[in-house]
This record gives sequence, structure tokens and C-alpha cells, in this order.
Amino acid sequence: MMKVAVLVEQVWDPVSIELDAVSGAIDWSRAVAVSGPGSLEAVELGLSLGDVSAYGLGVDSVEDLLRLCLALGAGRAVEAPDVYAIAEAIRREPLDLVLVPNRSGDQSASRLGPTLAGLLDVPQATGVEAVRLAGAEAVVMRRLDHGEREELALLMPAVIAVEPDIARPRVATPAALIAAQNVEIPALAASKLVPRLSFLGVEPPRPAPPRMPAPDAGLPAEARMAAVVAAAAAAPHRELVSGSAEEVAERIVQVLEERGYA
Amino acid sequence: MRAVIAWVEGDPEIMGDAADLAEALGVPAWGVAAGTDPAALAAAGSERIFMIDGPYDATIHSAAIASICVTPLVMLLPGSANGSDLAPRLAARLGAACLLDCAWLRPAPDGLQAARWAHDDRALERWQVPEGATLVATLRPRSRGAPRPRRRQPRIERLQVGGKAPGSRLLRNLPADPRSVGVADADRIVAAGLGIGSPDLLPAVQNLADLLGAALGASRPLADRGWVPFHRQIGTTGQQVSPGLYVAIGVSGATQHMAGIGEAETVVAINTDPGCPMMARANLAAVGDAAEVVPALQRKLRQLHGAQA
Amino acid sequence: MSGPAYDVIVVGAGPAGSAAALVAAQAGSRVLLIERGEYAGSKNVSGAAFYAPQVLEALLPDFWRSAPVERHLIRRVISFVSPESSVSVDFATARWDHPPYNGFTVLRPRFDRWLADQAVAAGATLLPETVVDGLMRDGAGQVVGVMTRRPDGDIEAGVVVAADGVNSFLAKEAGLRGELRPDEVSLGVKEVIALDRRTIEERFALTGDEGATHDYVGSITEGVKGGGFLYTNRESLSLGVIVQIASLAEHQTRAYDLIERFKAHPSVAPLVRGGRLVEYSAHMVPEAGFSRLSKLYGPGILVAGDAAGLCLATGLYLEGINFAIASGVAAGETAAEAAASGQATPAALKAYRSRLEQSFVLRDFRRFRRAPAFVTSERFQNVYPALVTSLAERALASRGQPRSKLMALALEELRRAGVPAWGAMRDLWRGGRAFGW
Ligand SMILES: Cc1cc2nc3c(=O)[nH]c(=O)nc-3n(C[C@H](O)[C@H](O)[C@H](O)COP(=O)(O)OP(=O)(O)OC[C@H]3O[C@@H](n4cnc5c(N)ncnc54)[C@H](O)[C@@H]3O)c2cc1C
Ligand SMILES: Cc1cc2nc3c(=O)[nH]c(=O)nc-3n(C[C@H](O)[C@H](O)[C@H](O)COP(=O)(O)OP(=O)(O)OC[C@H]3O[C@@H](n4cnc5c(N)ncnc54)[C@H](O)[C@@H]3O)c2cc1C
Ligand SMILES: Nc1ncnc2c1ncn2[C@@H]1O[C@H](COP(=O)(O)O)[C@@H](O)[C@H]1O
Repeated sequence: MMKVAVLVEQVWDPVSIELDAVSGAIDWSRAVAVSGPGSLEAVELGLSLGDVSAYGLGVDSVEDLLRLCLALGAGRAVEAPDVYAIAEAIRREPLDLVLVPNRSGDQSASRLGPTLAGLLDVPQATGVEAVRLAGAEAVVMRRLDHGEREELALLMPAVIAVEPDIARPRVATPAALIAAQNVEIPALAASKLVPRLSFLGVEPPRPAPPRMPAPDAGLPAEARMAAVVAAAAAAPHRELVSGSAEEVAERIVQVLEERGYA
Repeated sequence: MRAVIAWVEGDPEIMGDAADLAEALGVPAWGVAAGTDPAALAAAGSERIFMIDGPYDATIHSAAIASICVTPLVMLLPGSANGSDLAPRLAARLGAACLLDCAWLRPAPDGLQAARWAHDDRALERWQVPEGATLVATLRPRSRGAPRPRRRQPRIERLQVGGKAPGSRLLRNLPADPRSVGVADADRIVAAGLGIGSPDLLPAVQNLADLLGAALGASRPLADRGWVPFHRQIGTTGQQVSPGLYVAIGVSGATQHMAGIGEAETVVAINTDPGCPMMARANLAAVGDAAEVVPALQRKLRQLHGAQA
Repeated sequence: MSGPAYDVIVVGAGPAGSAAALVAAQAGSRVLLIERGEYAGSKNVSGAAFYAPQVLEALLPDFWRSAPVERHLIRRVISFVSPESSVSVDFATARWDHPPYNGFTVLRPRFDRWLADQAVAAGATLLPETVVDGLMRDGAGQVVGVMTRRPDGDIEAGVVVAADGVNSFLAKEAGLRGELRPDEVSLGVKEVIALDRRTIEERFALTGDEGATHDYVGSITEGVKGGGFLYTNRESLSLGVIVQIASLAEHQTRAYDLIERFKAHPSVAPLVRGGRLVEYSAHMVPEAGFSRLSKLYGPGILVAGDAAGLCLATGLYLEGINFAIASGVAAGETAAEAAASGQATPAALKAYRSRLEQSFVLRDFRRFRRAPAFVTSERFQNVYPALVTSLAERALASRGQPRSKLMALALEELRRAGVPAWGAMRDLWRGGRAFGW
């Protein structure tokens, strides 16, 4: 039987995060913690591949989520303060595969999978939409930018960060849910390796301004002029075309061709 | 800090960020070219360039980059699929902190400050990187524009991959299937607005999208009316996109819609009103009736495809 | 295995269900409390006034010390409003300012969760995120358990307590009640508006944890039968309208528009100004009164709270939480006894009805049985509020002219409103019977 570790995460539901427009403070009393996208799906995939140990981390308490993992069929559930502690714990275990959610609570890329793979120094794949086993390898379909995909073979043990639609979680039975309520959930100690970084607070979204292309001061005058003109030209340049539908379509196709789209 | 290093996969935007930050910190900016033309990195301000050959592999790239790292440093990557794959692994190898999806980084009295997008863009989280610590960060791609031109004569070296075996074997690459790709992922989008008049024109618009290898998008009223599925809606309450090509057919360009099209490189607008905001934003503003221009475009593109085949 | 896994299964962890589970567990029964929401209270309309907390005090002495209550009520204001003006009866008493308190405002998601936790602390097992889909019955038609929407989801029990709220699908399936008619249910639409503590205390003349309730009748609902309310929480206001569904349809108005107009009314707007909307919800309220109570029990099953129609909507105010808790207590006691004796027959469960008869629950229902019809009558809803405000305006306005005496003005106003004096007398009598005696 394959041995699979699955990381599950409790995250803030982004729709419950409300920012005061003036102070920028988050009203934490209204924040709601939910299981992260892909967490239960990873458990389901793990259960279809072998024996699952669930490691839980995240905001608020992950205990309920871990109990749910037990009710779904995980053999073991452990609460962890950080991903470094999980790495230290599972380094000692004979494991074939580690499954991790690929996305954080707000659907952006999560750092859990690659961090774990780096700490364990094992192969990794993120953005995984499908997994199958082929001997000592796991074959994964990985999602790239702009809808492209690649198929990779990873030598196991490996860390695989899965997309939320990788599997459809099963539904736990009442008996299993009730039995899981009385299990003691052990907790790992915090790791000393967590890098130092201090949180200063949140603020309303203010993206960095786009770069103002100023010319290189080291250039001669005429080259600086040319740079300014070139920069201006790089800004969207609007062309207006009118006429019969045929003429308009003709010009559109030309522009698409020039820019490599047709 | 001893250096700012950018890992550049395609778009040199991130090299510009590294050069800007390095200048502010008074340290050199280096670039790792992963299948990018080193000349683009040089023009964007890289003072040393390391080239890595072969397809992207997290194990190889993290090991190779770790070998050139002089800590403490700042390592910047684009928040692309591969950038987000590599950054945390590299941070784990370097014992560095890692921040994904940053909006900006700037020097601060005791080190460095960074802001990252959080809670589905409802907020920016501000973080302090202490003096002497190493940071690996990804920046949201296509949000800060082309690098400021800088003239450098960088030394170009080939990075030795060394004893490390790749962690993965590439079996095959699958191109995007525009019909199944969500608009958020598509590099080309053909979007329809109320100007198409009725859902009867939608099959023609879909066909036009197919001919261009584009995904179909729409303004909110179309999604509200059920003419297109909700996940094809673009805008603040729909999908945020940043495609290379955006063709807007009968879309007026309300701010809630424009907020969704980000840094689209080429915008072609087809509209009867030359003065509407979408036409003002467009690179090519085509004045015409969608019901006529779309079929004309279909014909011309079919001819073109026929000629190529 | 001998017998079912649970003595008592309670469906629905609202105030009725949690109280039933708590009491049955305290009596030593093995209790399973099933809730479809993610946690108890997660599906409940937030912000409410909990009147007559004595019912809970008896179960959990000094509960308010640890329970998440917002403010204790020292002021009740009832206003009759016309489009521009209002006349209020404002009752405030210092006697309610110390224990035993006379009522609290609560935020339901927090309060319900706390109450369910008390049931768990007493030994009940809570199974959240689980929907009950049907009843299990034996050959004789006796209810012997519930079916949940989960794999292997059938769970057996000696007694089932249906505390599943206003739409009680279980009471219907057990044949204890029929579908409610549109004129027997109301729609409650509620908002929670965040406002800082100091502002609330200033605007409502409160100090510390003192709280107030305001109820409104008249043009607030624009001719639609119903009323409006406004309660003070610690750092927010709960406000909303409760309107008859049939009347809403008749006036082709959306409840949402009513709440907007309610907030804009000159007597409400200054109270909510500057607040931030943090929650919006809509929920049904049974409003049929005593005449339409469901049958309270059947073989193997008891019905409590809103599920049984035990919610008193007088139009002036809405009381359901206290009835839900009191009926839950009676159901829990009865269920525990029946399970212990192994006799969940109607004869044994009949004790539930006697308990309710003895408690304030059915007494109040009987006493106020005429209130709903009276309060939703056309005159009470639309004619009198306009009349009273106009009367007050004429009596109080200073126009530099001789003023008439009140009775003369009243008769004149009645004439203008087209209400014959004898009609008004009759309404006075009816109102007296509904509320006074
Ligand atoms: C809170 C909020 C959130 C919103 N979020 C979004 C969102 O996420 N996405 C979104 O798209 N909208 C959103 N909207 C709606 C937005 O404000 C606009 O109403 C909407 O984008 C307009 O859609 P449109 O351009 O298709 O229609 P219109 O504004 O009606 O524009 C139709 C355009 O078609 C042109 N036209 C007319 N006839 C023809 C023809 N025969 N041929 C060619 N062109 C023609 C017209 O000149 C016009 O420019 C939001 C609104 C609100 C209030
Ligand atoms: C807008 C509004 C304002 C109100 N204000 C007040 C007030 O100020 N004071 C007051 O005393 N009363 C008020 N009420 C009335 C009060 O809310 C109800 O009378 C009270 O909640 C009834 O409690 P209950 O336990 O019977 O039902 P509920 O509180 O409705 O609880 C039923 C529970 O059962 C669960 N459930 C339902 N079906 C199933 C199923 N099939 N399987 C599993 N679980 C299920 C539900 O999720 C819910 O948690 C108000 C009502 C409304 C709508
Ligand atoms: N419940 C909370 N209350 C207050 N601050 C919080 C809460 N949860 C998270 N934060 C803040 O948000 C920061 C980022 O959270 P995280 O991304 O979970 O590390 C934390 O360091 C906290 O300071």
C-alpha cells in the first residue's frame, strides 16, 4: 500500500474579509475560516492512492478539518504550526507521495508545496490537474500559463500540489463523523527554521504605479530624446479606422497579422 | 544586501524591477536567463547574466541558482506558473523568507519592505524583511510595465547544472485549447458586449474566436442575460484577464469592465461609437456595425487560413 | 446490538433544538443533535431580542454571565408612524437594569452556537453539516429514527424531536401539520448595521450594556401588512421589517424596498445614519397564532419551536426564541422520559402538551390568540397610525391659533379617516382583548 501524506489547510474565506476603507483595518470578528481550495480534494486523491496521514495547518483552528479528514478515511491526523515543522516530521517517515493544495485561500498560488519539496529535497510539481502512477514514477498533468499544459513524470517520493478539481471529495458517514469527534489530535512543535519576517499590517489595495520611462542620464542628448520618443511610442497608440465593413475588417486583419495574431 | 537577482523566463519586466530595486539599495542587479534572450536582460539593467539551458525543472533551477547566490540577497521572479513553482523551493534551499504575489518592494530604514496582494486583492499585506535576511519574492506579472532602458555591458556566463539530476521528465507539451480555456488563462480573448444586439450573433463571435485561437469573453449584461456562462464575464465582478490580444465587440468599456482587462497588450475594438471608452483604450478602434464587421472578419480570416494551408 | 444507538435525536440546532438536547442530555439520555448548517446558528437570521430569558435562567443559572448576549433591555419603544411623523410609547425602567434581566439583544449565529455548545457540554453529540431528509418508521408507523443526506445515513432513535424551524419538513412528513397558507406566514427581512458603541449609546440614551428595542407600525410598511423593528446590539443595530407574504404580493412590493424605505423614514434615519451594512438576510416567520398551531406530537415524534408554529408575531413585536426554548425544554424532558421508559407512544408523549399548557407557552398563545388578526387588520395597519400621528400633530402644533381639545380633534380625525366612531370603539375593544385582557 502506498503511503501518502496530505497537507490540508484552514484559510480565511476571502469574501468574509472586510477592510475599513479609511484605516485599512480588517474586521477580524467577521472573518470566517474555511477549508482551503483543494484540501479535501487532495485527501480524496490520497485515499484513492493509499494510506493517508493528514497534516493540518492554517488560520484559526484546523482541528475540525482534521477530524473531517479522519472521518473521510485518513489513518492519522496531526496539527502543525508551520510547513517547516511538517517537513521535519515527515522526513523521518517512509513516504511515497506528499499531496498539497496548489492554491491558497484566495485562489492565488500557494507556497506550501514547493517549500516542502525544497526542504525535503525531493521532486515537485505544482498546478497539477491529474495524477497517475507508473511504476516508481508519478505521471502528472501540470497547468502552465495561458491554458498550456505539460505532462511530467516524477520519481517518487515527490511533492505534488493539486488543483481544486483534481477529485470530488466523498461524503463522510454520520458514524465516522461522530467517531472522529473523540480522537485525540496530536500537535507538532513549531520549527526553529522558519525564516524571520515581520508582519506590519494590511492596507487598502494600492498597486505600484507603472514605470515612467525616464531616459538613461548617461546617454548623449540626442539619444535621450530618441529614448523619450521611443518610450512614448511604446504606450498604446490609437488608430481609428472607419469605412465599409469590408474595409474595416481588412484593416483589422492587417493589424492582427502585423502583431502576429493572425 | 549584496545583490538583487531576477529570474527571467520570457517578459523582461521582472529584470526592470530588480534593476530598480538594486539601484535604490545601491547593490548590483543580476539576471538569470531561463530561455530568454540575454540582450533583453542587458537592456533592462542586468550587470551579470547567467544562462540556464533546457526546459524548466524546479530541482535543476533551484540547485543551479543556489550555487551563485551571495547571501543576503533579494531574488525576484515573475508570478507565473514556473515562477511561483520555483520561488518557494529556492527560498527553502536558501533558508530565505518567501513572499508570493507582491505588488512592490522598497528599501526601508531597517532592511526592506514588501507589499503582497492578499485576501483576493481586497488588501495589501505589508511585510518587513529584517536587515541581513534573504528574501525570495514573486511580483505580479504585467502590472508595472516595460523596464526602463539601461545600457549595460554585462558578463554572460553559462550556469553549470552540476551533479543534480532533474526531478522530472517532460513527457509532452499540450498547447492551450481555446474553447476549454477559461478567459483568465487565455492569451487571446474575443469579448462581446451588448452591441452585438442579440444572442443570434454569438455563434459568429464564437467562430471568430476559434479562427483567432481565442477564448470567448463577455461583458456583464451578457452574463446576466444568460447569453454566456458567468465564468466568461470579464470585469471587477467577473474575471480579471491580462491577455496579449483583446478584441472587444460592442463593449462600451465601463470602468467595471476595463478594470478586468488589465494590461492587455493589443486591444482591437469594434463599435459604432468612436467616442466610447473602449475605443479610446484600443490600439485599433474600428468604427462599424458588429453585425456586419464580424462576418466580414470571419470571411477574411478563413481566406487567410485557406491561403496558409 | 440492543435497541437504537440514541435515545433521542433532535433535528435542528436552533434555540428549540439545542434546549431540547440540553435537557434530555441532562436527564441522562443519549442525545444526537443534527444541524444542517456548518455550525449551530450559521443559518440563522442574526440580531434579535430575546424576551423572557427566565426560561433559560432556570436551566443555566446566570447564563448571561458567560453567554454571548449583547445588551440587556431597559427600554421598549413602540411607534405609530405616518410618512412624515410618528407618535411613540416609550417605556424605560431602571427595574430591568439589574438581574434578573427582562430581556437581551443577541446575535443569533453566536448565541445559537453557544447554546448548542451547552448541549454538548451536557453530553449531547452534535452532528453539523448534516441534512435530515426523512423519517424512519416501523411497520406500525411509529417514528424510529431519521434519514440523513449522507452515505449510511439512517440513524435510529427512541424519540425524534423535530425542531427544524418554520418550514418544518419533518412535522409535515409526520402528518402533524399541512402547508402554511401565504396569509399565515410572514417574511422577515433583517439587516445588521455596524455602528460604534459610543454613537449607539448617545442616540438611544443608553449607558454601558443597556439596550433598547423599537417597534414600528404604520406607513413604515407602505400599506403592506406588517411592522418594523430596530434593536441595539453592542456595536451594531439589528433592524428590519416583518410583512405578510400575501399582502406583499398584493401590493407588488419587494421586501427589500420596504427595508430601504424603513431606513429612510424620518424617525429611523437619524438612528442609523453613518452605519455600515454588514449583514442582510431574509427568513420566514410563522404568524398564525394559536388557531394554527401544529399537532405537537405523534408516535415517536415531538415538534418544538417554529416547527410547531410556536412563534408569536403580534405585529408589534416578534417573540419566538423564548417560546422555542420553553417548548424545547418541555420536549426534551418528555423525550427523555419516554426513551427511558421505552414507550414513545402518543399516550406517553402527551405529557409534552400538558407541560406546554402549564408553562407560559400555550397560555400566552391562548391569551394573544386574537392579536395577529387584530394587528394585521387594515385599520390597525394603515388607518390608526396615520390618525394618531395627525391627531398628535394637531394637538401639539403651535400655530398661534386657539387649539381644540383632544376628544374633539380625535372625533374629527376619525371622520376624516372614514372610520365611524362605533368602529373605533369596537377596535378598541378588540385591541383590549388581544393585548389587555
Ligand atoms: C457593481 C457593478 C459591477 C459591475 N461589474 C461588471 C463587470 O465585472 N463586467 C462588466 O462587463 N460590467 C460590469 N458592470 C456593468 C458595467 O457598468 C456596464 O453596465 C457594462 O459593462 C456594459 O456592458 P456593455 O459594454 O456590453 O453594454 P453597453 O454599455 O450598453 O455598451 C454597448 C456598446 O455597444 C456599442 N454598439 C451598439 N450597437 C452596436 C453595433 N451594432 N455594433 C457595434 N457596436 C455597437 C455601443 O456604442 C456601446 O458602446 C458592473 C456594474 C456595477 C454597478
Ligand atoms: C427577521 C426575524 C426577526 C426575528 N426577531 C425575533 C426577535 O427579535 N425575538 C424573538 O424572540 N424571535 C424573533 N424571531 C423569531 C425567531 O427567530 C424564531 O422564532 C426562532 O428562531 C425559532 O427557533 P427554532 O429553534 O424553532 O427554529 P430555528 O431557529 O429556525 O432553527 C431551526 C434549525 O434547524 C435547522 N434545520 C432545518 N431543517 C433541517 C434539516 N432538515 N436537517 C437538519 N437541520 C435542519 C436549521 O438550520 C436551523 O438551525 C425573528 C424571526 C425573523 C425571521
Ligand atoms: N484572527 C486574526 N486576528 C488578527 N490578525 C490576524 C488574524 N489572522 C491573521 N492575522 C494577521 O494577518 C497576518 C497574516 O496572516 P497569515 O497569512 O495567516 O500568516 C498575521 O501575521 C496576523 O497578524
